[in-house]
Amino acid sequence: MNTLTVVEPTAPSTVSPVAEDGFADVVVIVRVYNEAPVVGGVIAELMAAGISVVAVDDASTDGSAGEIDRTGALRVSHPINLGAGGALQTGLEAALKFTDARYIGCFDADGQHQLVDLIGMIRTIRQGYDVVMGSRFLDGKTEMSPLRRLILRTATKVFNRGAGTRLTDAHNGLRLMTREVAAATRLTQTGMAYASELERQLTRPGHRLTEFPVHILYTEYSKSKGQPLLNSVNILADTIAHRLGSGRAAL
Amino acid sequence: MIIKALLIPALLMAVVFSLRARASLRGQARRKVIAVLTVLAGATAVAFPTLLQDVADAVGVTRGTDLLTYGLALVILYLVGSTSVRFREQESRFVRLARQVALAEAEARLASARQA
Repeated sequence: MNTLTVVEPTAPSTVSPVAEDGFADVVVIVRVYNEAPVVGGVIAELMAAGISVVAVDDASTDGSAGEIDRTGALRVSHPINLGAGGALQTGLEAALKFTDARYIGCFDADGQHQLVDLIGMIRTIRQGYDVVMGSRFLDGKTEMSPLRRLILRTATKVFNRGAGTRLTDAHNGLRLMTREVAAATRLTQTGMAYASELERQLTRPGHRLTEFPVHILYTEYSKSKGQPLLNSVNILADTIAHRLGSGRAAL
Repeated sequence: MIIKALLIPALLMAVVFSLRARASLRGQARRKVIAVLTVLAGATAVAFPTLLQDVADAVGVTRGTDLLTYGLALVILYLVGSTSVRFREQESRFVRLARQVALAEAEARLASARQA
């Protein structure tokens, strides 16, 4: 098992058609909850490009942990399922503890994110940003149903109220931040409502933030596994509740 | 109607206090005091059935039973609210615990992989 690739950022990166400038200063958090059929391929693709991976296994009950170990990525396994926000916070802490990467990113395990988008975001953040957020709405590349588009737009509007920075896509899982920003991030919402909490922390006034157009692939697998559209209602409700519950400081 | 002036602020206070309950000693003590008072009030109401009606008449409620219902509703509201706050606090504690377990286990695995 070659977990050392994670803790040695100076290791020469694997030759890859897209990695001519090397990604030894980047670690990507991949949250895994029962994604055994696809997670191995997703992590292997990232690592083949020379990007270190911290995989947070959120107490998967299928063979996900074994699939992760086969790739040689660093695996952090929750003893009990904590949810998306809980897993991301664990990933951030693990990335800070076990690597000295300059930039820390988030990448979905289900194959809906594109490596080329991540690489574009890495090139962008190196220009001197603190946070680069993926957005599905900056160009028309992502195909989605009008209803999904409407709900995501609404969620973004609700989220934007009170936050300093205007984002076009509040619930995009593809994000990249500097080590300092990651160290300052504290997520208390363990479920999907973490997105609003995270966005609020990432868009703090001092942060140089930009968005990067990304292309999400709604494959049959990610559609069957990922967020059912109805779950947007849950997220919206949690976001509003969280806003009312702890948002006093921002009002 | 004196009861309106009493019930509406009491309702709001029950909500505010319950959500601010936390696991603090003060919150725990408050819950215990309320439990004891509820028992005492219940015993008194059983021992002196006319007393409840007298109090009801004094604050402008038709029946003593109605007054009892109002009182119980307030107590339940406070207890449900403060219990949910406690649940959330416990949850955030075991999330931190689970995270520490996960990180410690990964660290141990990493160390043994390095030795191998």
